[in-house]
Amino acid sequence: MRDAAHLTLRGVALSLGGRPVLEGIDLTARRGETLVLLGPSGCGKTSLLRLVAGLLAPDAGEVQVNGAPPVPGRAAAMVFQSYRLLPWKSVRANVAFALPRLDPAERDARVARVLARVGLSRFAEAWPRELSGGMQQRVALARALVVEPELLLMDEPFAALDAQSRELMQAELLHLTGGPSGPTVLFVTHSVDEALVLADRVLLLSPRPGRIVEEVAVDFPRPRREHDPREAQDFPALRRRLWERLREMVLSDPHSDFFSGAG
Amino acid sequence: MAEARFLPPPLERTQSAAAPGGVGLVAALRLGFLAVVLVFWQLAANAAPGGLFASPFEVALALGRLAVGGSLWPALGESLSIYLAGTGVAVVVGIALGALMGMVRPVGRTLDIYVHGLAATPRVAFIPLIIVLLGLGFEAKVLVVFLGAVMPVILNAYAGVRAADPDLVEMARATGASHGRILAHVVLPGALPFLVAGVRIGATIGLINTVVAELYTAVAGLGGLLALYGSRFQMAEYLAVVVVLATIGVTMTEGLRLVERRMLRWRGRE
Repeated sequence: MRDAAHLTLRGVALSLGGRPVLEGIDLTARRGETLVLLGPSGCGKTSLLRLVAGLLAPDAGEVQVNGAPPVPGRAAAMVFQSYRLLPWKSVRANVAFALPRLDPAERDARVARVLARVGLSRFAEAWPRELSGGMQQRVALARALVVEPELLLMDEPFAALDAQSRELMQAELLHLTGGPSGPTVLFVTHSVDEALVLADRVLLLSPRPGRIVEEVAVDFPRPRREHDPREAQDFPALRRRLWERLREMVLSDPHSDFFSGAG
Repeated sequence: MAEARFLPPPLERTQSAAAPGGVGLVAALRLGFLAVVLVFWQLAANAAPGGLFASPFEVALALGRLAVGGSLWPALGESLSIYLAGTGVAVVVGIALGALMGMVRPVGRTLDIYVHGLAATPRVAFIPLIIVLLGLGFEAKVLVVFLGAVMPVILNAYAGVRAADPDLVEMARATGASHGRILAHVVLPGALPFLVAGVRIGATIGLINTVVAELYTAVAGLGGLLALYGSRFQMAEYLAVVVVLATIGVTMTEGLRLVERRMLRWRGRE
């Protein structure tokens, strides 16, 4: 089962407001695999996640999760960069929001379990504004994990955190999603290091309209909490290769701040 | 008649309570201001020719007579039932219509110009028409109150729903939430500061319209007492009724402020 295709995109194209955002996207994710989409700002990575979540429909091509077009809430759980907690609900109620159809007793038990897993049991009754950014993102992660998703979509979830929190959250994510029954993860980032730490495969996207220009298998041993990939011998070479491709794309993209015009 | 006004949500929050010793200080200042008003009232009463104005003390005595003699209570009951019925229906209908206008953009675009137009039309102009349709009784009066109170509620609910955070709505959609669930858990709670501001303005206009309705249709209730004592130049009784009306208004707005503070606890003290 773990080798079965969980997520398939074939020839996907998307335009938003008349501007092409994605073009000719083909990708397949095996069950339990962690795919990282790496690309410069504005390359349509977020739109790609929305397509997979079923929040957007492609203009061309097809998106399939478990062999069918995705339905929001059923196909996947999503974690956003800006946390998106409901400020008028307690931590507990924010997590429970993802489970409307469960009976209250079971829902409460599951919420309590997931809050314990992310280390926030003590803050169950707190308002979101009372928490730090890292804690708020852990609540958002708990809200995604509480539905026990088969597919976890993460849109630059740690980009707004300070360096220390980001590192801790990456380790926590590896811990929470690792294991034989862990979810398939589609993770968007523009950090090369983050991509290499988390990914089984890195897909490099070009600037708008986004296309997959390179696919890099990342074979560092797991569990990576125990074997930090950054200590692996070929980490620097891989890092340099991805970074150079990324840099090249940013410098030659006329929409980028760093466009030099020299090519 | 006062016009419905669109006001943004109040930003004052709970500053008074947040300041050191705030609650006690505010209460003391308010009582002090009341004392100043009473002094000036007394001075004005002394200066006015006899029979044209009444002193605070005379008004207090008149209020006692009205309360003991019994003519106050039926009038108060009648006015309150009209006021609360009209304002209550206005809150429910206003929030429902405003939310619909905000959620379904074509409905909002179609109706908002008419709502603004009606909000700017003195509702007193409709009273002859209302009398023709509904007569002079309870229903006619409730309709006058409703028409006054509903406009700010609609306009604020409309603005509040349109101001919903699209990121939060998208988050809710990603969890598979239905339209109803998004409305109940994301859009309306986010619009709450707008809704409470609208209800507070609506409640004020509703009270004004209660008296207007009681003066223009069958003369009854507190408005009826105003007409009666005004025409007889019983100024102490007349002002006693004014004090009762002011007390209703203050009770209502302070009650709403408490509701607001309780429902907006999540914002904290800023």
